[in-house]
Amino acid sequence: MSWSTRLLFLVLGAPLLIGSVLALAPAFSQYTLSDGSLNDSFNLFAGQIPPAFIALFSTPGIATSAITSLLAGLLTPALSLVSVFLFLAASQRGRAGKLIAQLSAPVLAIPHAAAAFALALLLSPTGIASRIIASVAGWQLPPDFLFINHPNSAALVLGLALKEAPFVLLVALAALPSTDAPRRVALARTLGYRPTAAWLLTVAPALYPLIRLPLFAVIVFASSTVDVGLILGPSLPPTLSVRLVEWFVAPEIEQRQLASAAALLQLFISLLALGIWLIFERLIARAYAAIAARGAPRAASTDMRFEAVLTAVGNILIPTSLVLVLMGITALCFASVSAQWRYPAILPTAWSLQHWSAALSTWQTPLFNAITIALLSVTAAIALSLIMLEAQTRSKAGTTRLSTFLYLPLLIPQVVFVSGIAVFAERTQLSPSLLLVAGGHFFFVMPYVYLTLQSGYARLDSRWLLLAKTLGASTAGCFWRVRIPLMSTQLITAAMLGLTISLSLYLPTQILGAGRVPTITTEAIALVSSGSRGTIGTWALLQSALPTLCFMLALLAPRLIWSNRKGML
Amino acid sequence: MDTGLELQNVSLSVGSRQLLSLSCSVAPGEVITVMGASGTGKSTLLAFIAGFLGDAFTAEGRVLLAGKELNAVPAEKRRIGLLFQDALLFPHLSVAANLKFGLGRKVGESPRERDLRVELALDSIGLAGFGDRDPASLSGGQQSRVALMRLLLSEPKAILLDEPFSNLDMQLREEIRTFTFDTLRAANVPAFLVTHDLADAQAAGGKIIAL
Repeated sequence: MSWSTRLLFLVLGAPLLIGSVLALAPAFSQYTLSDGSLNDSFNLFAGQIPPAFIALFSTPGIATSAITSLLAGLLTPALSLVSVFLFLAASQRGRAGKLIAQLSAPVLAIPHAAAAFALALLLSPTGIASRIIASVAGWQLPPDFLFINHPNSAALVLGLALKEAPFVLLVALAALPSTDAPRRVALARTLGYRPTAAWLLTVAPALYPLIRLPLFAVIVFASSTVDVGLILGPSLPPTLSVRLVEWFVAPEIEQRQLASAAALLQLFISLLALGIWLIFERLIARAYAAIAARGAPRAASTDMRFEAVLTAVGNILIPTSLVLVLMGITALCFASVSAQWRYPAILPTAWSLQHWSAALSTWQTPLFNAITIALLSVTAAIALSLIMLEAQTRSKAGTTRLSTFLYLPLLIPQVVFVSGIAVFAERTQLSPSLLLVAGGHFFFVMPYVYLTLQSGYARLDSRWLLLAKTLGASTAGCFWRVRIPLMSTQLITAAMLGLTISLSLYLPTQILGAGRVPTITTEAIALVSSGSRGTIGTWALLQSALPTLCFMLALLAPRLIWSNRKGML
Repeated sequence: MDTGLELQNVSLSVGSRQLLSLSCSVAPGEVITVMGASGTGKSTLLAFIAGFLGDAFTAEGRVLLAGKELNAVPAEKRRIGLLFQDALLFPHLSVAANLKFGLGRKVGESPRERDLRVELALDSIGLAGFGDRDPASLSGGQQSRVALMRLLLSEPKAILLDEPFSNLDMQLREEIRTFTFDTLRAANVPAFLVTHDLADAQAAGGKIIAL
């Protein structure tokens, strides 16, 4: 193991493992749940079930919570994957496809919570969608149908998929060139397959393995999300992760033990979701083999219809999700400037800036905190990534398998190890501070920053450095005078991506800050139970503003810096 | 007396397969040409001389520059310049800054004097006043000339040329080839050309070694 791998283990792997162990350990402790005194009768090694688990499994609705989390963890990636693959298959040649792909990139910058709030304001009984239908159908009262927070958790899955589909799309588009898609499709078409079917049969199987790990991250995230679960998920009972956090922040020791047992259940549910996904992978691979063995279609009419349906669905899903996001953001904007909004009026019936002036009087501290945390964690992640990548390049040795450690923060449910790290901080008497929260953010920022910079390292033509050396530049000179400027675009992208992630993070901020380090994100989500549409709209927009700014800077900054150097663009 | 660049019993191999073995010496002002089809180890030979040989290769024999053995000297200290297939002007630097990149520091030289040296150099390749330009705005031939001048300003003790004309179109190739060899002879450094184009070798006017 090279020293850079060891360093990565030290800063990423070890805290993750310690955090996970500390999160799970209290569940096995000997405290009774009723009065806090030692229960001598319990002995784990004699095969008895720890009391925390007995308490957990006798909690009303715990099975429903767990199943909701499991379903969200499976349906979100499935919906995202299907819509992305059908979209790519249906829009292979079209210019519209390219435009839609470009339009969905900024959705990545919108925080999960803000997107969830947008969907809530769009699809609630008195939401914009309902008002539009009312204006056509002549409704006078909002429908008696709950979509947001409904126990069937359709809104939760939809809200997650609206954010995850653009992520999967971006990852898929990045991997697509290495599949040689146009030639595969051309070959299949000469054999008699129609374009969309040809793409699905020849490109999809080659593309899937390349986007598998990011999809696993989506599975784990969707099965354990807290903020989206709070906003869109069912409330009676909430998802497992939402309940876990409620128990974790409660003051009583037995609640902590309950949270710990729930963390183990959460880990199990996320792994179960991954396991079920792997089984489906096998089944679908077999189905694919069977379809391929059937040979090229000869009976034209049925295949034409099938092709038409696939193409239509592929052309509809992703654009629809974009329309939903856009309408949701419009709803946020309207809500933030409304004083009164009677049903079924489509526009607010009275306008006012009161929500903005109220928010602007309290936003300085949360904004300052959010920016400080983001800058600290991103600076650390960029510095560490560069140190490791430089070490690997200079040692000449082949890269060891770093990706396992890197993906760990994305493959262990956030709630599990973040609560463990909070326990660790309490034991070592680290009080909640900006620095501690920034440390927590680092785990989530690091993988994306590292992977972005790694691709930058891989893409840089090695002749530049040879050339610099033959011109007499030292190793340090090569790094500062050649590597850094030539990689400036990737550095900006990595920094902006890291800032976007950090600015949107809810759980690590809330748990590690113990409610004492408010950021724009925690303040926005704290409003979920307030029910005030106007305040929610204002804070959700405030929360989206900075990440969107970062996204635009990532696009504009290189053009501004290198406006007089065409070779850099 | 300067003995130029010498290769003594150099032998390169990948695993157990030997790529090439040769001995030769290049006098200052001379351009020696090594010709061979792809896969014969031409580029590997240049990497070995310049000090960049990858771990996959094993090398025997000695490289001497003006009588001094170079084998243990790191690439940036060898004072061996390299000319690639492409001009490779640093895209983030202006034309003048590209020339300054390898410009040796002289004791007591002011920034103004350095600027002056760069201006004179630009003038000598017919590009006076091009210092502030974006290298991407130069034509292919202009880029090649700047690349050669940048190399010479770094005052190399020997120059390696790795198929330097193969990415140029026919008309330009003739012009740049003449310019390059004239400049190299005037600079009086030993040069080592690797190519698969016989016309390059003939224009170089020195010994030809076929691999």
